[in-house]
Amino acid sequence: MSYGRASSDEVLEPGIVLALANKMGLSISPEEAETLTALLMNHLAAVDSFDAFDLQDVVPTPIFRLEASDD
Amino acid sequence: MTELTDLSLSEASDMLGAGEVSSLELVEANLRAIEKTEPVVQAYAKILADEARAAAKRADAEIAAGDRRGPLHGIPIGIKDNIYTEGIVTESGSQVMTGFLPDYDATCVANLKQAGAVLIGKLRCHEFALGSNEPPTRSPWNLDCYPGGSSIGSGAAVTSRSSFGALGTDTGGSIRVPSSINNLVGMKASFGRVSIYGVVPVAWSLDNVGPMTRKVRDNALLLAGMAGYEPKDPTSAKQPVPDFCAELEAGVAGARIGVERDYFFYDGLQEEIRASVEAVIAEYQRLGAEIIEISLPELEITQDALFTIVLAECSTYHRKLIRQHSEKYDPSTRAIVQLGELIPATHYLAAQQARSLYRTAINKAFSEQRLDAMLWPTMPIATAPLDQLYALRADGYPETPVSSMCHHTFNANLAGLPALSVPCGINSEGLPFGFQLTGRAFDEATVYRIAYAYEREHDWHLCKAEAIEDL
Repeated sequence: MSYGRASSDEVLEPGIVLALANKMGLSISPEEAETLTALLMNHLAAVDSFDAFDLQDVVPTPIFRLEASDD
Repeated sequence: MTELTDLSLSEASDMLGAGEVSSLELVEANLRAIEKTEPVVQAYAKILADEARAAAKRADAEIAAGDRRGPLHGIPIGIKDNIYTEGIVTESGSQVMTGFLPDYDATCVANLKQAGAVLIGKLRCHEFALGSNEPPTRSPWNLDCYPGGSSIGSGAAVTSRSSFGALGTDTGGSIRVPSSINNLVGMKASFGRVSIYGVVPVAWSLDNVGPMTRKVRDNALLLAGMAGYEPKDPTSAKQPVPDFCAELEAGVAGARIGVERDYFFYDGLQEEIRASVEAVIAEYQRLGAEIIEISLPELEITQDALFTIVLAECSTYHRKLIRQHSEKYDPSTRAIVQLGELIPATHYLAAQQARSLYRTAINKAFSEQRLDAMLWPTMPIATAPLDQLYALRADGYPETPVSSMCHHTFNANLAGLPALSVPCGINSEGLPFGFQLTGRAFDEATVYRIAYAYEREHDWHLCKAEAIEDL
């Protein structure tokens, strides 16, 4: 079973996710691989939404200590 | 005669200070409420009856000796079960942590104990503040409905009058969502205002601990009792803790409040909530505040950015645990944790870029428009039936209730700014909801002042949950 992205013909096979996850030491069943594949496809589509903005020169700065001057 | 549990935290505190009630009487009143409501609400992971009685007796003796430490001395408080409590089982709603006994208190708990607060119990949460909640905690407003999470027991306990206040944690809205659903005041303070040392992490760069109470003043008192710099916590901010109540009654004349409409007043906002929040805005104008319409198109990427960051950071925390105890995770939690490992590092960093973009944009709006706060609904819906959380919304809007619930809250975690949910209405189904005030970094005092100006004109906070009244 494959999961297609709504906006393209790209597909991701659950078997690939299963093999990758198991290689990484994650214990997942073929059924869980299908769920993970669907979730991963949703994530990939979500990240595409960032392209609506120009992030080219934005430096990623996770907050690990907020300062009052941030305002 | 008024039931002691009908007192708000600050009212109970005033009576304690005046010698009109004892800490032990407050604890016993909470324990009676627990006995009455817990069989159906199921807010507590562990009830600390003996410990609370002993702590209350100590508090009463100290207060009688003229050694009252402050407004929280002798006040019973509930603690979310993902927050470490020394010698008290802390399981974070997960079989992975069954029987775990921390050997130290989280800094926020240590601060509360230092202030003399009494721990009444540990409050249930979704597994690791991420996944399942089984058996479900039920809303005191409607037992068939979802009471909001992940601080699910915190909201239900304060609403059930079985605690005068509670600590929740908030990575994407988990204090403000249950506060809105339960007619409570809930604060996600500035990132680093309250140390997360000793809190089971969801995502280090987004996690907050904060207070959930019935009234604004209660909330300000509880935040002051738990906040403060913790050198052992690299996210903790070196900021003095002010008296958040000092300017509480100063009003809003001349205050500048920003309102963004494209994102927060979208088509998914239910009409009753839209009308009530518009009435809140009009009320602030009547009280002398200036409403400034603002534009923040970057809000559109806040949900995806936060989800991506949460997935990557939470999976990093669970990397060893998921390999050792995979079978102990609920399948829904396990899927989230495993998914995070499959996300490329480039996506995590792209999400952090999106976060930077949004932080810059909202901080620019605050400074350029000289805003004191921004205002929008806490959630676009009130809540949903427990069995409908993952179905499409019953009103036909093409979102699930779970997705709608966090639509308005993620942005404050990304920006690190303080955000407060304040009750502002009850819909035609008898379910409450709130509005949200977001402030400048470390300016919680202004947020509280603006919130209190509304609260003192209304009595939403006095409305009681009907579903538990007849128990």
